Amino acid sequence: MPEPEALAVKPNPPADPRAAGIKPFSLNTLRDQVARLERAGSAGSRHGKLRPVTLGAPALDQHLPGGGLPRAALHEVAGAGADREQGAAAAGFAALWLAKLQAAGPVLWIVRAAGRAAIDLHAHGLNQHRLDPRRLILVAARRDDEALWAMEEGLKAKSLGAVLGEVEKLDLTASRRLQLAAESSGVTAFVLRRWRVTERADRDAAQPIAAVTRWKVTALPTAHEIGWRVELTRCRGGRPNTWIMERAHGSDELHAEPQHPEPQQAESQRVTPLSGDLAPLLGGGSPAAGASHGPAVRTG
Amino acid sequence: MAADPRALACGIAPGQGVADAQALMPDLLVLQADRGGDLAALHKLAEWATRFSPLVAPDSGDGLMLDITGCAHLWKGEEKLLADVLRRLRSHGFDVAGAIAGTIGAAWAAARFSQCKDGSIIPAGAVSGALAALPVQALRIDAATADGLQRLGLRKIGDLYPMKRAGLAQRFGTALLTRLDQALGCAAETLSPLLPPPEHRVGLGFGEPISAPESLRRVSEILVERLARELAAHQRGARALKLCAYRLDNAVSTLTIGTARASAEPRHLFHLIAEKLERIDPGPGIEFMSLAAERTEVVTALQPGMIDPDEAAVSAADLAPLMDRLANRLGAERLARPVPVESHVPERAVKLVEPLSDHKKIQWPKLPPRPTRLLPNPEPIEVMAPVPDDPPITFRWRRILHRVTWAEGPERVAPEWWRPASADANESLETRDYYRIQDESGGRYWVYRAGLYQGGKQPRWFLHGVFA
Repeated sequence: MPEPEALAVKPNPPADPRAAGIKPFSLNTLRDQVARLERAGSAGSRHGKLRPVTLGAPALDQHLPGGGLPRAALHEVAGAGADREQGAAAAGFAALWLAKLQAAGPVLWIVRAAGRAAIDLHAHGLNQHRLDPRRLILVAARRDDEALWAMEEGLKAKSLGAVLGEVEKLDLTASRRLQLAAESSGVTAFVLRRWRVTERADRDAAQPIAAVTRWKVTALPTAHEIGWRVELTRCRGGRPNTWIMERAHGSDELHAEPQHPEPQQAESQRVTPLSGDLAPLLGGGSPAAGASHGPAVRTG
Repeated sequence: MAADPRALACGIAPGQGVADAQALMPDLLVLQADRGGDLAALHKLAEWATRFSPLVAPDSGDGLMLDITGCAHLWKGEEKLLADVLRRLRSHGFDVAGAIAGTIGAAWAAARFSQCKDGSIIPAGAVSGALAALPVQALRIDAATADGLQRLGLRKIGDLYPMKRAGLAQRFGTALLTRLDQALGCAAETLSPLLPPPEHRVGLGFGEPISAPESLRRVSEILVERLARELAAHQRGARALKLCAYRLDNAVSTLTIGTARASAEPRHLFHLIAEKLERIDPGPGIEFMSLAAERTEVVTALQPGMIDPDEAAVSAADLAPLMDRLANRLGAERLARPVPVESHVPERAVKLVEPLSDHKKIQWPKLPPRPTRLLPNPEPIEVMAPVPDDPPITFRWRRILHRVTWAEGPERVAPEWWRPASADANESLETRDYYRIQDESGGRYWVYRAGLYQGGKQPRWFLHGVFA
């Protein structure tokens, strides 16, 4: 009976990671470690395994470190002028991002409203911004504390694609909680700042929060379906910039024209391929190759 | 008129007139009956009694009827159960008598007319024998019928047994026979309980009353585990749970939770309960707690790893715990999912339904440009329009003046004449001309003129939404 023995000692095919002495779960562990390293270096990409979200407007996407908006992170969207109260343009801009995130799961949108009947978010309008209302769940929150609580609960649900909360006041502590919740579950979080009194908005908007990106959207006079000035006022691991974003009626082509040239193009280019290079490397590469790329991770 | 034991000893009988009673006993204390209060107290007592059995009905204004089918074993036998009920009620100052029997009628009769103070138990098969010695009043018949029977010399229930049914029916109506049959178990009778019986229920009693939050938590955890096991065994999941805490002072503190999808997952259910547990007021202490699944549904278990062809089902299953937590804290009416409605009237074009209801297959229609914010109630605006039929050149909304730089429209929304006129009839029965207008700062608004332009009449304008 030599056969069973032979079977028992037969080595696995070399393609199997177990052959290299790596347990199956160590791949994820390694990815997490890389993600943590990247985070320490503020490289932008929060989770090694999560590809950043792109809007389909290359000028804007390319500007972001990692080539898109990081998932599993907190982002802030605010309107300007009267829209700081109405949150219409801000909702439209957020809807563009959320639409891209819907592939990952349904979107939870926490609306500031006294009840279901008072919800002013219009699904047909969001639909025209490519957000699929069939994968949209609305929650009416009366106060900021309710909205923040609901956001945090939503961020624990890994099956969601994204969570958006309309919030008036947001401090460093509350935003950090959201950022941490987003990081640990992998769900992307948005706060849509909506002030009841616009006077307070100027003061509040300047307060620091723990968001990875902060956006300000201003509607511009235009006959197009979309006509905004989009300001990236803060971006971890990246630089602020402003774009004029336009989309014609019935068109799927989103056009973003940067207002400032990109002096740090080289740096953001250097960051971009990093996570892309690492993925195949971690998939089946040798430890030596990983070591040679180690310093690159830290400097990026 | 009712009478307390001392009054009874003086020869005063319940049902006697007040004047007669006062003649017997001049310094008699007469209190006005508080029927409403009595009934409310009985109701409360009935609620308390659900600790013994979920099926409790207040009966005849002065009694409680409990269906103890399948409950007695928890008290190690019917004798002990009955003794426990009576002891507890007496310790709270009630003057009670009780009985257990196989039929509602027999239990009623034995509890009220049996001589045995500590409660009699009529074993199955001995009903007719036990009832034979009781007076005919024990049959729950009206006073006239009882009088009539007594005049015929039929004083005891046993006297009725040999009588011809046709004769009795002719003389006293069928009610008497029905009551007799019900008492003897020849005719069916059902209890109409105070509360609908829960489908699944577990309970836990304590030797020492508990009141500490940690103990409540621990007990709820045990109850949830037991209930979940029971539900799982029946392949059912709970949609509604009710936790009852029976307190030392006879009060019952309850809390209910609902779930968006049937769940038999103990951790999830416990999480929902734990969040609301502070609503249970332990008062002087809790001696018994029960957890009931008031509404259950069949759980369709999705096997892990199996790809469900209906993607909607999967996401609903994943999201149910989240929806429950949100609904538990904020209220289910705060959660919604939009579904399109075929209506020209913009505010009717979207209906908000329950978040996990199955509407995924619905296609959203392509519409002319729509705002991202639609005001639930269109707000009147002051406008300046050079020509009444044209879009405005300025408008004032929420006290801010906007100068219009660009306008597009109109998009005419005709009234839906087939809708019945309602409170907001004049709103919905008017033609609206919608314009998309933009002010000099770039803000884009959706405004409409209500009603067709009629010469001389000032048209009314409303702002209905804000575009992105």
